Parts: sequence; structure tokens; C-alpha cells
Amino acid sequence: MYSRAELIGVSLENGSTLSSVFHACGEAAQQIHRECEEILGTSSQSHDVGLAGCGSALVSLLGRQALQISHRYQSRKSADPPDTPTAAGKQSFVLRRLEDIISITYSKFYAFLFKDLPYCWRQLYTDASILKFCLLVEQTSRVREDVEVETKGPDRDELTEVIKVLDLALILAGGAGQQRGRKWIDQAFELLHRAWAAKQGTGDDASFNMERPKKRLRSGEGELGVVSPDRGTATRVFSTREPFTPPVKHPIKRLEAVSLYAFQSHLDNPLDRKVGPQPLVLTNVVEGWPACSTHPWNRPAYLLSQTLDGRRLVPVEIGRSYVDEGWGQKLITFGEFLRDYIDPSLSEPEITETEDGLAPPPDKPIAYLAQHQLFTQFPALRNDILIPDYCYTSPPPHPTDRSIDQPELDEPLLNAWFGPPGTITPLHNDPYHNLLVQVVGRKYVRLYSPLETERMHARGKEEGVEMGNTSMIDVGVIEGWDHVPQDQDQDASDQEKNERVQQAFKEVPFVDCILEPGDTLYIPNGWWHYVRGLSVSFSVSFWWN
Amino acid sequence: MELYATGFNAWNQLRFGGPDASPESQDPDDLHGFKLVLRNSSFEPPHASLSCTLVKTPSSVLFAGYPDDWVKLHDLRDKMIQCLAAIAGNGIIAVYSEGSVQQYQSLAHYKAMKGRTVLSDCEINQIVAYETGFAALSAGQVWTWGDERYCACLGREVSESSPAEKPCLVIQLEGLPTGRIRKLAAAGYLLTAITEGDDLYAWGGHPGRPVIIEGISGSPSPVLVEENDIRDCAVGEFHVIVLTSHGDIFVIGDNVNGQLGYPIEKASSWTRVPGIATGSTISAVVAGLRSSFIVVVIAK
Repeated sequence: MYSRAELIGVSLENGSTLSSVFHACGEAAQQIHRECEEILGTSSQSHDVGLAGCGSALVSLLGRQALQISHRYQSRKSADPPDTPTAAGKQSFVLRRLEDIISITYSKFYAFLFKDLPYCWRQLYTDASILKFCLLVEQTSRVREDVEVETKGPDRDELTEVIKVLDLALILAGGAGQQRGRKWIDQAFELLHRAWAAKQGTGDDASFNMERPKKRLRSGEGELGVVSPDRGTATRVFSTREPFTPPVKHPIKRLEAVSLYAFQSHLDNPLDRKVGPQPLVLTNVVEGWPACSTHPWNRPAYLLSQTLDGRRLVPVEIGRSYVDEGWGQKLITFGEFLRDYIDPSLSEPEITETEDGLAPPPDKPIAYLAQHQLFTQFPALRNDILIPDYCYTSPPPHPTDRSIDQPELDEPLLNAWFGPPGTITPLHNDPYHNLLVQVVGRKYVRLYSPLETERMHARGKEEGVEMGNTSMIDVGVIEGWDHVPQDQDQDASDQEKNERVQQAFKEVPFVDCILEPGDTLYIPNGWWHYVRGLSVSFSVSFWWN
Repeated sequence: MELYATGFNAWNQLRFGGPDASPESQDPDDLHGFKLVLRNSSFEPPHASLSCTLVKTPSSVLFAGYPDDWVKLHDLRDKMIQCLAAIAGNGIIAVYSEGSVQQYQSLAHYKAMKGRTVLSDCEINQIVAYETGFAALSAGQVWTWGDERYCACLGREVSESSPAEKPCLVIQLEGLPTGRIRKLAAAGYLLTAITEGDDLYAWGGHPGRPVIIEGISGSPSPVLVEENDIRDCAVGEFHVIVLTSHGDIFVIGDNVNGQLGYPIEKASSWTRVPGIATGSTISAVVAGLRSSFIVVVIAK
């Protein structure tokens, strides 16, 4: 039997990162148990804070599981004995109860509109997930009787499972909770990342291997974020293949090196006061961005190194465009997203980039990591970009409808847009001014003025979801770039009407551009925009007002 | 009479009385098969919420599990037991009283009597709730209302004149070949109705969840359980249990907490649960969100 230090090996010697995880877990379990006890001990007055709103029954059930896990952590010894069957059974029972709580809570996420979802449910989901994570982490670290007998498959899957638990709490529940919540989860991920990065230094494949390391760590290796130059994959960049390139008909004005003053003046002195400021392509926004230099986002290996070797979970949209039939959202690992959807050539052994025209797998639909607060989920990637100074200007209100204006934001809203060639964001408008920064690859964008809103054929409420900011018009179909979706069973008069609408829409003036890596498009508040990824494309949008 | 139960038991909600019946004693495990949980000369079919079970006998209300907040409000509790009040998964409460249906946004609104009338001048026989809305039975007709996002659960068209959040009749449950509707059941995103002639109809669905019964849609359609007439039906969040006119029990759906009462991982088609209450007569089936109950009348 191995001693504990040998088992965790590298990680313990290298800054005790895993023991830090254990410490954080022990504390969290104790804290959750205490909070539950406090809620159950007080009369039902303070129902607005914390977990209390979920009802005493669930608070009590969570508290009981927290206590079990807390006991488990308190009784940890330097060399833990293997679990007896009774103890193992007890652990799996706690796990089942935590999964019950998580599933009960998840139902609430559907039952309420997210904006009406009481905070307590998000916190309950988060706390139950933290406990589940702690239980699994502790379990995987124990000496197992079967270690020698059965050489377990890659522990990779174990780690992927553990990571998924916390990512779901971030993505679905927003990592809610004052005492723990997102802060706690971010810290746990940071520790796991350090353990993983240290492990990288051993030259093993990037597995979260808690068993005896094959080699000792050589000093100076495995530093945070540094990718080992393995068979040249570290320097490989995303394919620049571009299956279709639409023509640019009314190019948007491009300006180099625009000062803050000049930009404010562009906002303040529009040519036409009725429309407000015009769209612009700016070329100096990404200056100094690590994402375009030292932390290159166009290298899969770098992005994988920031996502626990692609094990982190991300929400992606599956389907060509969010108004299409069959469109849906899915949570997949970042690695799966890269290898299966973004750039299938990555999983090929090593292909030279000249071998162009690689068709994607025939029946794989398009997946788009769209409008995701990636930087809240991955704080390390947030450090690779800088908020453009332009976001600190004061832009004018909505040109035609002040009721659309949103309360002033404290800081810009950041969203990531990462997808393969052919992603489409249908014609729509947003209630903010927007700087769309193109980091990797190329995108086509077409804009229509807010004065044309009536001719945009806005949708209404569809199945209880307000779609008024999205047009019925499919720009790609009208231009003949895409096929008409097949699902329409319309009669002749509908079809005729449709053709009239499309004909009329072709008359509406627009401006357009193709964004190159490093370009930034300023989309003024209220302008309708249609966005189309041409190659593998990674953009960041900054909304501000 | 006897009550058998199976399924989710985290708060001992399937255990009436006895030394270890407190909701927090030990950590009670789920029941993975129907077990006798109550014997009494007479009682009404139980009302089962997530964490507690209530059974009304001629003299009192028996109770198992962890009391929900509403259990302390006796007027609401009694209406819940009579199926004249229901609480949806989103916390909204509907209560029938004196010819009208009142709706409350939450229990706090109910306590403050801050409700609004959603249906008036009616005589309601039964109100059931699903995750985001309600169905009510009135003289053989079915009214539905709820969140527009899950309009399949309404079983009817949603339009300006018949909005989702206002009770409207389910036209497709009118003029059925075997008579009018006599009983409703609902939970999760699935609703069922039984006709006077013992046919079972179902509707509902959630775009993000696998269907429990194949072929269910937003339009009520007949459900065949191996050609049987259906005496009773109960719906849980992820499962359905029916009682046939031959006295057989069939289940379908998830079995994560043992709610099917049969040792299988899940039932994607109707599965008969054998060997329950031989020599006795099953009079009713009831479902909690993750549990099932069978009411047995012992043959004299």
C-alpha cells in the first residue's frame, strides 16, 4: 500500500495544491452544515436570505449531507485506509441524496423564468454541487483496494466528472451564494489548474492522475499556462479554411488609430441627428492584448491549457441559427467542442494547412459558443483581453425609441462568440452600443439603420419568449447564400406574400464589412445586425451605454 | 384498508409512526418496492408532496415526513387533501372556494390573502397542478392555464382570446367516445384524464426532457396500456402509475428513487408490477413527485 504523499505525489510536493482543495472542501462542508442548522433554528422570518426560501425540508436534507462530508474530512488521516464496504455504501448514499437535491432544484430552473427564479434555488444548486465535488474529490484520493489489481482506465474521466459538477453550478446556477458560490468554485478550479499544470511537467499525458506518478517532477517544468511543445501541436493554429465568402457591397468606414477624443466626437456629431452615430471599423483596439500575442487564442493548445486540457464545460448552440427548427443548446466539454465542431482537422494526426477544402464530418451540425459570459467562467482568459478605452465614452441614447434604453451599466458586458465557419446570428438589434472585436478568423457583418426598423419585420412573442428584437428576414436566403429552410409548408398566397416581402427588403439600404483578425466593429445602439462566421472565428463583444 | 408505498423517502415521508419515523432520524433510504406503510379501518387516498404524505381518516389527518409550510395552514391543507387546491412547481397556488378559483403567486401571498380570481361561477370537482400551471375538472370538462412557455401542457390552442395564463376549456377532451372526463392527474410536464368509460388520455411535454409516454404532444390523445380499461391513474414528475379494471398495476418512466416499485432501471414502455396485494382489491393509485402509493381494500 502506498503512503498518501506518494499517491498524490507530484501535486503534494509541488505546493500542496490538492491538500488546499481538501482544506477548502472541509471548510465548505462545515460551513454549509452550520448555515443549515442556523436556518432551521430560527423562526421563519428571514426567508429572503440564503437557502431558507427553499423550505426547511430541503435545508435539513442538505445540512445532513454536509455534516456527513464534514465528518469525513475531519477524520482524514495522513494515510487513509481503504473504505470498508459499509463506509463506501454510506458515501454513495450521500452522493445519491446530493443528486436528489440537485435534480429537485434543477426542476425549479425550468419552472420559473430565470429572472423570477428565487435566489435560494440557485444557491441550493451551487451548495449541493460544491458538496458533491468535495465528496467525489475525497473519494478519488483514497487508497483503493483495487488499485493494484485492476489498472483503472485513464483517471481522466474521473477528473472530467468532478469538473462537470462545478461547471454546471457556474453555468446553470451562476455560482450563487455569499459565503461560497462563484468565489469558492473559481478558487477550486485555480487549484485544480495548478495541480494539472504541475502534472504536465512530468511529461505524462495530461491526466489528473492521483496514483503514483511515473516520473518525478523535473524542476522548472510545468509552469502555469505553459504548453509543452509536444510534436508541434503547441504551435498549431486553427484552420483558416473559408468555405464561402460573401461580397461586401457597401463597406463600412475604416479608421486607423482613432483617439478617444475623436471617437467621442464621432458619437457626438453624427452626420444625421435622426440616425445618430454611424458604424465604424476600428483597427487599434486589440493593441496590447495577450490574446493576440503571448496568449494566442488562435492556438488550440493554448485554449486547452486554460480549460484543464479541454475538460471544462461550455454551453454551445447547436444548429445553424437560433431561429431555425431543431436549434438547441447543449453543454459539452471545451475539448469536444474544439475537436468535434470547431476544427475537426485538429484530431487528424498532423496535416499541413495547404491541404484546404477539408469538409466537416457530413452529419455534424454547426455548434456555436455564442453570447456566453466566458470570461466570468474563465477568469484567466479575461486577463488576455483589455476593455477598450472607447467603452468609457458616453454614447447617445437610442436614436428613435428612448424606452429601449437600459439602466446605465457599471462596466461593459462582455460576451464571447466562438464558432466554426458558417455560424449565423440572425438579423437582430441589441439595447446597447457594441464593440465587436475580432480576435481569431474572419466574420461578415451587415448593418441596417434603426430608421429602417419598420421594414425589418420584427418577430413577436414566440412560445412565451419575446423575440421582438429579431427579424423574420433571413439575409442569407435573400442573398442566395443559403437554402430556404425546408420546414415551411405554406400555400401559394403565403409564398407570394413572402416573395413580395423579400423583394421589398432587398431595397432597404445597408452597410457591411468583413472583420479581419484584430478589427473591431462599432455597432451603434439600435442598429440591426446580421453576423456570419466565415472561418473558425473567435470574437468578443463589449456592450456599454 | 392498507396503504402501500414505494420511492423517495429522504424525510421518512413513506413511514407512518414507529420508533424511527422522525423526518431526520438516521438517513432514511428510499423504498425500492411497494411496502405496507399504513393499515387503518378507513382512510382516503393520500396526498403526497415532495417531503410529506398526508392521509385523512374519519377521525384525523395522519402525517409522515417533513411538514411543508402549507401543512400548518389547516384550511389550505384540507383543500389540498380534497384536491380542491394545488401548488405548482413554480410556487403558484390555486384554490377553489365558493364557486370560484383564486390564484396566489406564492405561499406568502396566500397567507396575506393577496390572490386574484382566475375563474368564477363554476363548480370544480378537482384541481391538479403541474410544474408551471394547473388543470381543473368541472362537470366533466377540463380547464387548463399556466406558463405560456410550456404550452403543450395546456392541451389547447393559445391565442389572444384564449391566453395561456387564463383558464380555458380543452376542447379536444369534449365529445369523446367513452364519455366525459371523470378524473385528472398531473405532475412535471405531463397531464392525464380518465373518461367515464375508463379511457386514458394524456398531453404535455417539455422540449428539454425525454418524454415519459411515447407519442405525447400538446394535443390530448388516447393512451393504450395493453388494451386495458383504466380505473385510476397518477402522475409523478418522471413517472406514471395506472390501475386497470382487472386490478393490475402498470408503471412507466424513471425509477431513480424506486418510484416504479419494481427493480428495473427505467421503464420506457408500460410495465406490469406483479404480486401486489393478492386477494385484495386495489381501489386507487396515488403518486408523489418521486413516489407511488397503492390503496388496498382488504376483502372481507
